[in-house]
Amino acid sequence: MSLRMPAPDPAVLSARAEVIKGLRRILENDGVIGDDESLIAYESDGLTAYRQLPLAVALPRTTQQVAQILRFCRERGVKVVARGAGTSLSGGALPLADGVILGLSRFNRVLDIDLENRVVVAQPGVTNLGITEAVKKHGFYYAPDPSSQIACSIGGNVAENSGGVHCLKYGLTTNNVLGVELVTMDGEILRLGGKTLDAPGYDLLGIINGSEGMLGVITEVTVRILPRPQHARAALLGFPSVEAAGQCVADIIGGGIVPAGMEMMDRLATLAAEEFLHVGYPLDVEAVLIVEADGIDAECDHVLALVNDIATKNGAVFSRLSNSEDERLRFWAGRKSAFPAVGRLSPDYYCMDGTIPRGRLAHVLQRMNEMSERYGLRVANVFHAGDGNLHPLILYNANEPGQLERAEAFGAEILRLCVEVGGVLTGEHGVGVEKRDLMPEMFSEIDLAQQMRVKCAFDPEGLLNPGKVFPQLHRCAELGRVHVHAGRVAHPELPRF
Amino acid sequence: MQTVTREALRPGSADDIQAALLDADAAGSSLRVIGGGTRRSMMGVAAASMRELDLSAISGITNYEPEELVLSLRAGTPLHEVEAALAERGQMLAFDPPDYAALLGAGGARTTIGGIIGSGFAGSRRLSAGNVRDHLLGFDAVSGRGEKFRAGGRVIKNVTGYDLAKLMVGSWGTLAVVTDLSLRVLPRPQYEATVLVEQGDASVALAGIRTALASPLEVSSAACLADGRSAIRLEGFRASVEERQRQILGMFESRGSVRAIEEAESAALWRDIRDVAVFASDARVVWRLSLPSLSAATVVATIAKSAACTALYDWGGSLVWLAMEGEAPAGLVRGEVSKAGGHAWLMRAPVGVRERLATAPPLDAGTTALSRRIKSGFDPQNRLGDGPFSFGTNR
Amino acid sequence: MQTRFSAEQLRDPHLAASEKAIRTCVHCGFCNATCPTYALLGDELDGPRGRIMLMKDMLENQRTPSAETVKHIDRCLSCLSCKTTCPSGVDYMHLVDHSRAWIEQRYERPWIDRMLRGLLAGLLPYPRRFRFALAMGRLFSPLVGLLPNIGFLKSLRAMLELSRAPTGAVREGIIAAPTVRKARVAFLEGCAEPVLQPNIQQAATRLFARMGIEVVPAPGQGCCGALVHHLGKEARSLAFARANVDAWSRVIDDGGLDAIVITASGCGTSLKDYGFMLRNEPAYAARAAKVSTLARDVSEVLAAHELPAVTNPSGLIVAYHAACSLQHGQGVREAPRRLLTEAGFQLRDIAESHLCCGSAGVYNILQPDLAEALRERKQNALAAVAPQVVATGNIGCLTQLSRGKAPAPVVHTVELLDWATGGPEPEGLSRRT
Repeated sequence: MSLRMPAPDPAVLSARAEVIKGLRRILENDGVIGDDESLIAYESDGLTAYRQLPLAVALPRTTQQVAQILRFCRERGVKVVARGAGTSLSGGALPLADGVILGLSRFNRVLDIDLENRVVVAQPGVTNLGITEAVKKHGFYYAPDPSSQIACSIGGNVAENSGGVHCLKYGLTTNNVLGVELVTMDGEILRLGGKTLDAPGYDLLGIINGSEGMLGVITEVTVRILPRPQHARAALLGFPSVEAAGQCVADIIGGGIVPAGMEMMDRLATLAAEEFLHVGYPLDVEAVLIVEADGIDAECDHVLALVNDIATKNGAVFSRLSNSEDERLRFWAGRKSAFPAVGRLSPDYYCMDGTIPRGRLAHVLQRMNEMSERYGLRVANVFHAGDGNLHPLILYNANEPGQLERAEAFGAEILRLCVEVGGVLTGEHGVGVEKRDLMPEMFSEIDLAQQMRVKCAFDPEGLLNPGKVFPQLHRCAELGRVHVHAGRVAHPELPRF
Repeated sequence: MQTVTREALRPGSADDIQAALLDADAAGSSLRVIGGGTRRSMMGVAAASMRELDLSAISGITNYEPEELVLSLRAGTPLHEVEAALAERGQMLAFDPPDYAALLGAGGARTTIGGIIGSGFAGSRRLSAGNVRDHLLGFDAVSGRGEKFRAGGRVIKNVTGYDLAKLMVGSWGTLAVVTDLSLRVLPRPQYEATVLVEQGDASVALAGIRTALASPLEVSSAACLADGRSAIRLEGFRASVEERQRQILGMFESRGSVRAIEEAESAALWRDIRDVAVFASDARVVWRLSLPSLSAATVVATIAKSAACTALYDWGGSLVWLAMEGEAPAGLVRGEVSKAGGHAWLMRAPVGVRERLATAPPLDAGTTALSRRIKSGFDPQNRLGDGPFSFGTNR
Repeated sequence: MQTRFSAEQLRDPHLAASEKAIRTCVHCGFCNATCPTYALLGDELDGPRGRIMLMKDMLENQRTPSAETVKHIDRCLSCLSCKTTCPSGVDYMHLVDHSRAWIEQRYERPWIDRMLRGLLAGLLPYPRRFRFALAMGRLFSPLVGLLPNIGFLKSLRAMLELSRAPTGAVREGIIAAPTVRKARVAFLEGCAEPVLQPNIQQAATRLFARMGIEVVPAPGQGCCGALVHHLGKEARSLAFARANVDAWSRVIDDGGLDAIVITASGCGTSLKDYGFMLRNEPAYAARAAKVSTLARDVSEVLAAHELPAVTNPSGLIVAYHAACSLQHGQGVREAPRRLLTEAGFQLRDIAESHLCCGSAGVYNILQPDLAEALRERKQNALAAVAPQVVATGNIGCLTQLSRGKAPAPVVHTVELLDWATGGPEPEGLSRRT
């Protein structure tokens, strides 16, 4: 593992038995894991390239228990890493040797289905899909739908500001969350937002979304639900080149159409998904595009007719409209399983998540192919075409010495390219540990200092999920003015990883 | 940097702002960020040592890429310039930025994009298209410490680092002075229509609106007007709008007299609703209540028992504009609103009333303490003042 | 996922297969979402992904597992819901089978646990012994209420309660052989099912006769071996498998077979795996593979032919409970549902249909608390659609769902199909309220 994490606090490591005892007391002997043989199940989240056994795992059931655990840990200087379903692809829930994993998996109840106000209040461990399931029979759904929606938790969605295949039209998590209950590191329980469409004061709720578990532990989430569209139909399009598919996407947006979803897969990703689900994706094309329209019939017909024209103009060689809800869902099921399905092509993959301006797609893909040859690693591409969010999956074999390091270097180069063309390092998976050391590609020391000041306002001792997002650790007290003079940093003595 | 009056500073660049902050530091005074001045009254009476930082010289569109759905511009750009540029390419700011100049008695003042971002109030389309906060992708700013920084980016999907853009929206320039920003823009709907329904009282009207909102007919805005009519707006491709309009008309036929208005007539109605034109020409105190929509009519009815008031409901009932005669019974209004899980802004009030009451909704102790720590992180010396808030470092 | 097996370890075919399964896992966590024990316990250790980590650690390091590890692997129902969910195609079934055998060989269980497992392995697979035990159980079952509901006694209680399960009688009369022979099949007669519900295979036989499918006997067969297999008693499960392969091979060699029909889907998963289980035994590999390719759930056989005319459309509201062994183990999902609809029943979909009912072989005896929680959850889901009858394709589920607060009588899918096409009303239905 080439990744450096904050040095463990020897005092905490030696007090491990005591910490476990204290946690057992708070949780009344139910849901504390302290033996190394069992802790191995918690050594990583969805990013297995990095692993670390935690000090202990605690699985509380109530907000009060969360508050007690946080207070207890703070008093003893014990770090805490919150964990939802453990599906992060950026290592957001990677444990620390001297830190407690606070698992929210037992917070798995939907608390309030409020159809009149069109909101659902759920505990953070409820899965993303679980919310939709809870309101489906009433004709509603929860719009953000990350591909891992079957498993990922709504609390984790908030922490990472998860996206999905429909966020071009319906927004990311942050645009659909109206309120949270949050416990800060000092054990204080805060309620931010609620069932209203805006909240007073500074937008603390907005900051919590995407804060990667570093500001507080979410114990309740209020989300907006939407009436399920009368109809949704998807067009499955195949193109002889990625460029043609990219141009089709640009022309659709340029034509004033905002489809409900617009996703692209390259040949390799299509192959993997097809092998798993036998959707009927064309395998003799270079790029597959799924474009979905939703709404009343007149809307779907109109949009899909426009899309079809644009696709034909751009040389589409395959075109199929979903003829039933079942078929539409199968178009998507293949796409949503594309990541893990790539597990069929390669034992390991490293998933990137940069966003680029849509117009630079062809350029970026071409550069990526060059890199692929240079690094000797295959890359499969899954792409949220509508919003420019790329997911190159670098295929490697972790059992081959040196391949992980090559994959990491390849990944970093892809992300630098994203920034170079005017994009960003991560569109929806979060910085975590994975992109942490690349943050200076996008932000100066001063830019990062502003973000850290927010962190310090919530967690001045830096006990919540340290080692994530920020490429270096600042003690809050030393975070006065970060002056950079001619490339020199003000506090060279601060630990850097 | 040129000085417009003895008091106001008119910086032309981030460097000018940095210099102004350093000067204020040295003088122990503070600055108040102002765009077009539409909402100046909501910031309260300025202290003698406070100088206005007028951003009108930091203006203009810097990069507009319609095919990427992104617009970058400078904070002092007047809203009408932005809208004209967007309209030329068939696009819009989907959060429907309001113009409160008339409502707040700032006739002649020109709303700027910076003011829209700083105050964070969205218009009627918030119901379907999101809030102001949902459309700011990235920005450049100078913090109260005098540090130039940037956050976010120019793409829609971005979780690289904390979402500081959210923190800037609605912070009234009390944390940092935003100089440049990038906004998400969307195609302007091809066609619009509004169904108007005359039916019973507000609670009946709002129940009808909730039915429409629970339907899959993609209502983009929904209001219950001060005269009791409900307005339900549909936007999109013409064929789709006409079909949905037919279905909405059918839904309300049995509930009262219905009719539909289209295009310019519909747009004009929604401009008035968004800008609260109905209360613009009188002198009453105006509150802005944000409520769970189901509670709106009840809260208003409870308040109305003790104080005569007129209500305009927007956002399907979730936003209530309340005009009241005479004194502003803040305890009553804020008490009822907070019992229902909402909050209330005092939007318009005579200076005397404004001095006694908090303009911004009060926060609980925990959130206040946290907000204060955020404020001191960005602006420890309170060089940028408290704006309409009362959790600043000096109070 | 990265693994650290040595080249020498990988020469062991069992370890090599497990390594491959672990290697395929990308740790995405989708499996947890549909795992019954994860749903109940909310602990990574009680979901497939965590169990894979435990098994990986145990096998990689050639470890004698700790009591904790054994606890979490024991809690796995082997329902294989994870197998359906897994996009990467991890072979969880063989991995957990291998691990159970590994544990059985190396881990010393508390004596009371050993005794219980020994008792189950010694009774259930043998119809005569099981019949006798049931009779004894019925004798003592009035005492169930007196047993404290804790620890081992809870398992004993669950066992005694089994003796109270509804049973069917052998009906009078000889079923005529079909006049036109469309196919020739043999049953897996099984062990527990013929003791508890002999009427199920009778119903199937009647249906087959009406359809022109001839049923021939295959003497010498016994339990499929699944029961001991899931207890980790590998040698005994292989012995059962070999005996059965021998029995069916004799019939195959003497006139051929179109299918080996299984009416208890739990056994079907096992039969379909004989080819894998005996792959390293030259004397059996080919014949076992043949048996596996011939193995069919009764619903698959019915679906492949035309159902007889529906003469008695009852129109009852049926909630179909998909047995895990059928929907996840064998991937048979649509056939029973389609057949029930064709036979004139009103089929209702239930929520969380992917979840296990808690029966899972002898799981309800070994893990009574979890089994009960799952049974209640399943019965609630069934009750929500207000069924008049519940249909399922596995004797274990049938027995499990008939206990406690059953929302409706539970019968085998073929009993309903037989009834609708001219057979007698299922006995279980007479208990209908």
